[in-house]
Amino acid sequence: MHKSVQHGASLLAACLVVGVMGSFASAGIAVSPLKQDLTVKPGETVKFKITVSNSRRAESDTARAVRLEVMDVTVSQDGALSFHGPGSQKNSASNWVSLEAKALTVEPGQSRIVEGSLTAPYAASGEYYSAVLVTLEDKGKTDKGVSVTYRIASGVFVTVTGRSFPREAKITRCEVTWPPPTVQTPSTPPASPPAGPEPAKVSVVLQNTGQARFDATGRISIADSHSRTVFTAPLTTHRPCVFGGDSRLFEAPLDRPLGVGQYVVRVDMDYQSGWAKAHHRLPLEITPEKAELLKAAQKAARQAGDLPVQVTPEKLAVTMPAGAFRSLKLALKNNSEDALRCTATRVFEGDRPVGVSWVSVAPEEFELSKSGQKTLELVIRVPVGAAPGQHACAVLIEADPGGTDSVHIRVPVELEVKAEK
Amino acid sequence: MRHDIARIAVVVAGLICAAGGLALGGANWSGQPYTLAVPDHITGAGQAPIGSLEMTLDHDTPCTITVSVAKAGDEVLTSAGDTLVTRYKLTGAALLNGDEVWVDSSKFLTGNYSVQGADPKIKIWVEAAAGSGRATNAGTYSASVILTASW
Repeated sequence: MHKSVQHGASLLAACLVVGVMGSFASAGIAVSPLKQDLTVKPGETVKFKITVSNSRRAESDTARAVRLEVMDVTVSQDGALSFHGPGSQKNSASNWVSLEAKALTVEPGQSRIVEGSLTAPYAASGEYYSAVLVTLEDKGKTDKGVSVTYRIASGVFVTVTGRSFPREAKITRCEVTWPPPTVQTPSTPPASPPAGPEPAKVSVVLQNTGQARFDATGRISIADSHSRTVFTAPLTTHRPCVFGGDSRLFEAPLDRPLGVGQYVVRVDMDYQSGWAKAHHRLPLEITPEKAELLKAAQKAARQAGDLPVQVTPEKLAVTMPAGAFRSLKLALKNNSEDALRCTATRVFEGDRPVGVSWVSVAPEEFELSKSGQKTLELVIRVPVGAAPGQHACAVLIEADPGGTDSVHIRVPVELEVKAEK
Repeated sequence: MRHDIARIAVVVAGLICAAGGLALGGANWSGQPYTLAVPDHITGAGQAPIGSLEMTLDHDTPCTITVSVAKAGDEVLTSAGDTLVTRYKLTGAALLNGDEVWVDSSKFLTGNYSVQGADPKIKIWVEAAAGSGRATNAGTYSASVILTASW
């Protein structure tokens, strides 16, 4: 099966789907609530409801079929949810749940309420978890490419009364991680400022050593050799709710300079206990190299933050045959405190620019309100008979805050015209 | 400050969702089509065509997106037992931790994306390439992933 690349190049004809998509009916699935807390006595039953809706978006919308499953849920250290078979986890409530429907068809504009009931065993006490997964049954029109299945999970957090459990936690890991040194290579200036080096960060793992879940918050403070606090920052996580027995990663970026010297990092974590907090102290030595890294990270962050407009993506690239057309999008976001008057202009440059008539951008003039967003549409029409190969142009976006210098952001557009067969 | 902005954005999203019929505390996927197509063929060594699919996730409460598969290996573009090097990205203005670079397919499955902003547009990207130093058989390659919005 394996062949040399030399011989293999001609055989490299892995025919991925040609993605000419026609018009598809829209499909929607709405589920609420995303999470609910149930309290039940041992041996008793409690009812709950989940609403599944098919929001009407167009006259052509059709009925949608969904499947409902009850599954166990676990949370990884970085906060990612995973779903498992019912009853497979120690703190599972899944086998206690029954739903009145496991499949539904919802008409456009209609909502269906699915009632569930949960019966706690007599021997149960404490906190248990389950999730109702609502999966859109409709599949793609083709088996080529990547099929995406849409699903929404509604969490069911169960507290079985009768015994109270204290909130307990400890810090099991605390460290400062430094980014790898970046290699500077001589090159032409990038079209837009680079993201900059990753800042150093303090990483803290908090373990819930009890059985009661909590929402944790925390912060770090850094004191110099004279015990003066020179840096404070909140610790953040993707999921502050920590189930009993779980661990969670919290991080705080070191995004401000620290001089060369010895420091102490103090970590304070609040896990909703009326009795205690979790603390940790970590010695930190800032060498001249590390001091430079912190300075560079702050400079990069400032440069990124100073740009009044964020443009995504930073570069556009498309491959298409002569005679075809494509529509590309540019997302703009106003990061400044002012409204911005903006223009979008096509720039034709380089050895093989695209034809002037091939590209249009709209709108060409617009205003971005404070924190506002705008999507620009770039339509490329390659005429029949266009020369195959690489062509280029750019979109120049000028943002004028009024009263101060305007900012120019250049988004390169690379177009490869495929040779006709 | 950043959290305040995120909260305001979620409130605004909530108003938008309420106007659109989404009950409070929920999430709404709306997407078409369902297949993330790679529009170009691989016809020679070193090519890595990409495809993308824009989806809409209305929500009126902070939520997360996790990526999973129905069975192991579903995330890799496969045709009759032959595979392509498959990489993904999930991007969108509302994602606090969207991908800035391509992510290997196995790592993509560990992704946990926080959705807090008001912009409901989320885009999934795929890149396909032949394995280094080897030829890939001709064929139609397919894969499948599950995107789960949750609390």
